[in-house]
Amino acid sequence: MRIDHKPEGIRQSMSWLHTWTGIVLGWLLYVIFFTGTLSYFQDEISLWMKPELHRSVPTGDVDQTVQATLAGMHTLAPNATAWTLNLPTERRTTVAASWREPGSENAGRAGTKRAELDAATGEQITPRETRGGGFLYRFHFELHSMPRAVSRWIVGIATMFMLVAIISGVITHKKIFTDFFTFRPRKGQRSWLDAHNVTAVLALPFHVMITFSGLLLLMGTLMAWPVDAVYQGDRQAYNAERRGGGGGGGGDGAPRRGTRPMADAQPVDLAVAIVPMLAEAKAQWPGRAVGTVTVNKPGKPGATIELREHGSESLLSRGAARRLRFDAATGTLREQPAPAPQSAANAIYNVVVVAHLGDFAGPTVRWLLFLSGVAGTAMVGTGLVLWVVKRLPERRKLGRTPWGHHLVEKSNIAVITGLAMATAGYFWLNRLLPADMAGRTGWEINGFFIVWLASLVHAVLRPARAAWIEQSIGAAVLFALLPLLNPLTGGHGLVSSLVLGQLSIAGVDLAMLALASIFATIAAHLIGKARKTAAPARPAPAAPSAPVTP
Amino acid sequence: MMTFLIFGLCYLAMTMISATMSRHQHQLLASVPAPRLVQGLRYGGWLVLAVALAPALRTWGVSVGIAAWLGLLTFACLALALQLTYRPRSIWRCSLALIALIALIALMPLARLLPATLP
Repeated sequence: MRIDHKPEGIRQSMSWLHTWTGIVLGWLLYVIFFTGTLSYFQDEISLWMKPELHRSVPTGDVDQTVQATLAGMHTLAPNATAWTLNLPTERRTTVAASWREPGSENAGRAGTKRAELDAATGEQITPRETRGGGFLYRFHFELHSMPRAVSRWIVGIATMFMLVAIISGVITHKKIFTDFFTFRPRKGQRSWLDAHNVTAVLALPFHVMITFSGLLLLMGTLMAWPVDAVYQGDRQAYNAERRGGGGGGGGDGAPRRGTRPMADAQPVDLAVAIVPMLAEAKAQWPGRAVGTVTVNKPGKPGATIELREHGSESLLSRGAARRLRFDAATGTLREQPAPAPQSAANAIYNVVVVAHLGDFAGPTVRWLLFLSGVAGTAMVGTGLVLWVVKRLPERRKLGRTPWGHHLVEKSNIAVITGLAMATAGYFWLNRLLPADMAGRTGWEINGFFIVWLASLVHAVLRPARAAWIEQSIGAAVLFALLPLLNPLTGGHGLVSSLVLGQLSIAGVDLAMLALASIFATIAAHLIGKARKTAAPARPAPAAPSAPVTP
Repeated sequence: MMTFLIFGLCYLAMTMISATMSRHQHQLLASVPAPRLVQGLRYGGWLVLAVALAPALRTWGVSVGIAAWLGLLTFACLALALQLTYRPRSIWRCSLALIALIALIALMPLARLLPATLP
């Protein structure tokens, strides 16, 4: 690519590749990293965005929670063919119940009704309508308002470019081991390059894992042909086989035929019957919790109760939780369905994919993944800024700013600070729109895009440095005030959530404060720099200094 | 506590390895160390790094354990990099405190034996 036709080394060609793949899809990758990182806490964010659910505080006594919610289900859905109760976890304060009414012959999800129950009292709580953290999660691989197939292709291509950028970046990096710990602040371009390198190299295992597994997750979209060829386009058959056959049990609770004749003629008091079963589960799975209670044919002869372990211990067995099924009447253990055996290909797919999703492990590992995601977001962000900073000498030489540089600089502002403001705006609207407003879900999301668009317009209209400073302050203020808005609009604020031990709610508030302080630091840094450059400029006001971003 | 133990071991390992790098030697040490010592620090650092994997595997099993170890290693390195930039002297204090704490954690299983042997 050299205009002087001199031979080009591999490092130079890789550097070219890295720069241009980086800038072409960098904005999209930043958006994917930012929303994807937040998605590690999508359950927590959804909970934060449904303040009605905050008042459900589990007592910590599983027996009591199960008894209370069973009583609640008796009044809520006495005629259902099966109840499924997802018990509270460290990530959920309520019991998520689902059931099937006898009339509904709709197989699968269509015939299933859902409700949130207060974990202490078993009463139904109706939260406000919102997409919650699910919007950010979906956005990070399906974007918005375009056909799913198209958006997944776009994200898939960006992911592929990310893989190219990682590999070419490693080759380009001259001194990957001597610079391993090196960060040299206040040196302009050098510092940006160091920051880009440090966040890239130190979290390299994460970056490789997340990019590669991202591609695998999109495999069905990007490489649909093998499945179409082998299964003749029957995608359901493929999915069923990949998941290791019908797992059975679960939420659908199809009554089993051909079992022993029913011993019980009259309905069973489930609240009494469940206690020894929970004790049995505790004995069988030491150190593990019961995640789901399923009651088949509640209140009718031949009722069974199935207990399902919460999560699973290994990355290899995604969702292969252990189960215990009891006769409701006699309390005898009927069967212990073994988790479906895993094929090697499946186990590998699971390891990679589940590591991406991060829904396998306790808070420690999820926090590590989240922080690695923050490092990844910072890596993409510093890379974007570096593109502009690296071209400042060129601009000074020209005495003007080329159109392309303007475009990148302004887009950087709208993407980096603008997305933060848009996300904060989404949370604000969640609390400010009336809880019973029609179409509020849509307006929360519209608000997200309106704020984002406004930040783009602002970035275009203002000089670059002023736009950076103003938008950083904007993001800092919007995020800093959210933990105050939370208790004012019906949620549990930091004080009450910490006192009640609702760490999932407190965590979101604290994360918002952390985000606010990050943007406040950026703003303070930029203001300090603006002052410093303004002072020596005064003796020579005629100097044609182009507006310079950090 | 296991998280802390793994993080501490990773931090110590990376401190040893960084002390073998000429760019950081003057930040950590008063004089340029003998080549023998550098060699020792390098092997020692890698060894401690491998040792840190053991508690991760014990706590989380193989698959999650490796992921957690890599994650903690990332942030141990990040902490060290920031310290090398802004407070290189504090690394000594941190390392000594970590050694003491890790020794304490390692000795804890022995403490359980203590009352039985005492009269």
